[in-house]
Amino acid sequence: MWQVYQLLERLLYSLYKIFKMNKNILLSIIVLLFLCSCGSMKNMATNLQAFKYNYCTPTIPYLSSSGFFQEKNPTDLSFTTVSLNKHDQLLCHLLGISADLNELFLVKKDGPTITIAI
Amino acid sequence: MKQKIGSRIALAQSQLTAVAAELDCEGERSDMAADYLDGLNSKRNRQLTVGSVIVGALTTVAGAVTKNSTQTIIGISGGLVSAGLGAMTINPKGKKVEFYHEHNLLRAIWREGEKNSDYPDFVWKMLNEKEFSTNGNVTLIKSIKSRWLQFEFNGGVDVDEEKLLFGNGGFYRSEDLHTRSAMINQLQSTIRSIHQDFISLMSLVDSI
Repeated sequence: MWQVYQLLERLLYSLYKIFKMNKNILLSIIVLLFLCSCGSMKNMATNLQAFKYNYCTPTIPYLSSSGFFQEKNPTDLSFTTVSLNKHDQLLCHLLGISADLNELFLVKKDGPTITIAI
Repeated sequence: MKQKIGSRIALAQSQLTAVAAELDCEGERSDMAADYLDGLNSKRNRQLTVGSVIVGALTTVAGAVTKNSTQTIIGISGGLVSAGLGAMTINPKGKKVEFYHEHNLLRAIWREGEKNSDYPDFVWKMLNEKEFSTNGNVTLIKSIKSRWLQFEFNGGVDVDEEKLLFGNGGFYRSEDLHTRSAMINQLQSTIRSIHQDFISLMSLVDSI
């Protein structure tokens, strides 16, 4: 704020003095100041090159192949022995583990299986 | 079987962590560039202010010790130089820096509904499911975008600013970099919060 006051004070004082001397000089200076204030005449860009290269980009692309996780025909888990809410069912579907989880529930229901090697 | 389920959950969580890490890095990168420009702008303004004060003081002293016509010329020229230096500090936007981001994680969120090429498929699907948002009425993508519009752009965004922030980058001012950093931080928080969705499923699998 102090800067602006000081600036205005000096500007008005100078203009007053010039006005007293010659009106044409005043007009020329105003036009000159107006032209010099154009933003396009000032080069405000820095020469820094460091931010041109994005070092945050992953070196190996993310897994973006559609269907890597998601199942084409998700197993309905709403009838499993343990009640699975809609949220977790959807998550299982997106993760592609519905069938595996269902099988896991069935294994638990039937009890542990014993494999005998002959 | 349990191991297979566990490993699938771990892989999904790794993808979320990887995206969050990239966002963390991008946020820091934006902040670093913004701090650099803030430093340059502040240094420039300080030098101009000091210059303006010195010229003003010298003009006053010189005016007092000289005679009529010289006094007037010194007064006018000194006042103009001082005013000019002061006027140069009135540059609200400041300097620019070249800042690029071909892999832009903000772009896909802004152009909601378009095909995703920046996020892992699983993360993108999570962001597009209403079930995973707090109120369940809008997707996480819509929710993030509406917050950006409300708090970062005051309801509307300038075409040039949109092209800069959601495109491949270009000449950034400090203000734009701060906006980018704020948006990235909000997005990072949302991505990290998806981890909460795994807890009940993981405890269920663990109990079997």
